Amino acid sequence: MAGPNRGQSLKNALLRYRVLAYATGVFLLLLTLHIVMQGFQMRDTDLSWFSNEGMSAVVPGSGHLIPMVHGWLYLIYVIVAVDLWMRTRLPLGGTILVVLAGTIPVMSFVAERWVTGRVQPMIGAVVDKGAVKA
Amino acid sequence: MLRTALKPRWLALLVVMLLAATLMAKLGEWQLERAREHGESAEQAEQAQKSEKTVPLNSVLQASETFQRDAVNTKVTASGTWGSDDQLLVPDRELDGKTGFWVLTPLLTDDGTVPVVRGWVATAAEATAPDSTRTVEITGLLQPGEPPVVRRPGETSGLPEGQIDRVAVAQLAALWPQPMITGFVVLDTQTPADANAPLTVPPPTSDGNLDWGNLSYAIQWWAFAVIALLFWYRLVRDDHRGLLSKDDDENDDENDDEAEDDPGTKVPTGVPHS
Repeated sequence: MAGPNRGQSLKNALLRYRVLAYATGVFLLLLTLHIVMQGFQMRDTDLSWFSNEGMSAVVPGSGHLIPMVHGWLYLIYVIVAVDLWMRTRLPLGGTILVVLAGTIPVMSFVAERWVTGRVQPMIGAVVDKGAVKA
Repeated sequence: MLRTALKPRWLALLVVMLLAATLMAKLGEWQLERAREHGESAEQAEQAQKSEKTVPLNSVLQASETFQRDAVNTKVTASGTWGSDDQLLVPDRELDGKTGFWVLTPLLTDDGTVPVVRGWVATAAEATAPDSTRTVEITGLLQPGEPPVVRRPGETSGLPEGQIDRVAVAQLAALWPQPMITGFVVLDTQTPADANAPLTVPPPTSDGNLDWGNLSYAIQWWAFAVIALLFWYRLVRDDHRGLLSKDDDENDDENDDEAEDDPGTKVPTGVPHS
């Protein structure tokens, strides 16, 4: 594969990962808030924890939507994270942590910084190499 | 390719991945089971309403016990006397497109107070108190308590005396004798019947969103299982094509695991396809 193309595809892979890291992170925060609210509602309703309406009390229907959307976003997050690893071969242990970070509130933002910090120089290296060849 | 796959490290990883995939597939199956249960619950309510099969209320839910989701829409029987003086009306309830009131009456049983929606009336004036002097046997569908309306301290519902805006167990507990069950029964039949009984309320429709949520989780778990196996396949294929870094290959022969975490070898080989 030619240098510039490879640089571009790496750039795209990183961008996909970053978008998903932010989206998953935001929805995980919403999900956390939803579950915490369900916990507080327990005091008033006598329902078991997850039977409470949570965020649905504020935005109707969101109590069902938030967990579902986070689930799908996380699935795509895992796929793009693995895809990025295939292209970059970042340390495997770190990549496993990156994948798990999508399930721990706030951590996907930290993971995004770590990944971006490591992949940006690679993109730079590939693009430079391509430029020299050209 | 097969010989590459049979290397000890890839076989070991395959075992790990298969175990993980099996676990994830099981989790997916469990979610599918839950999706089915939830999906059926709306239909179940209708079925339960029609069916002759009933269980005593105290076998499903004891007074003051936390309401479990499985108990929803159980057709239960209970016997006791009506606490007619404590009867309440719940405004803004629909029946056949008309807005009226639910008639909410405590049934005083040996096991505690049971909130019962005896039926629906169009106007508050139509609601009559049931005979409280005799023991009645009722059947109906068990429902979880409704979430209470959250108010600031000192704020009131603004409803007339004898009305309550939700069938909220916590609010009823302050008004009715204790102990009380943490749910309510929507009355289906009563023996002996009351002369001026309100119209029977049909079974509530369950929200269909839940089953989609569980179905989503089921699909996601299976997808994770597939990803785990594809990940293994991709590693073996890369090894077969010699795309893994030299150090990784040497690991196979020398069983040297330490080099795997050596970041120094990763950076230069970071771009295997170039």
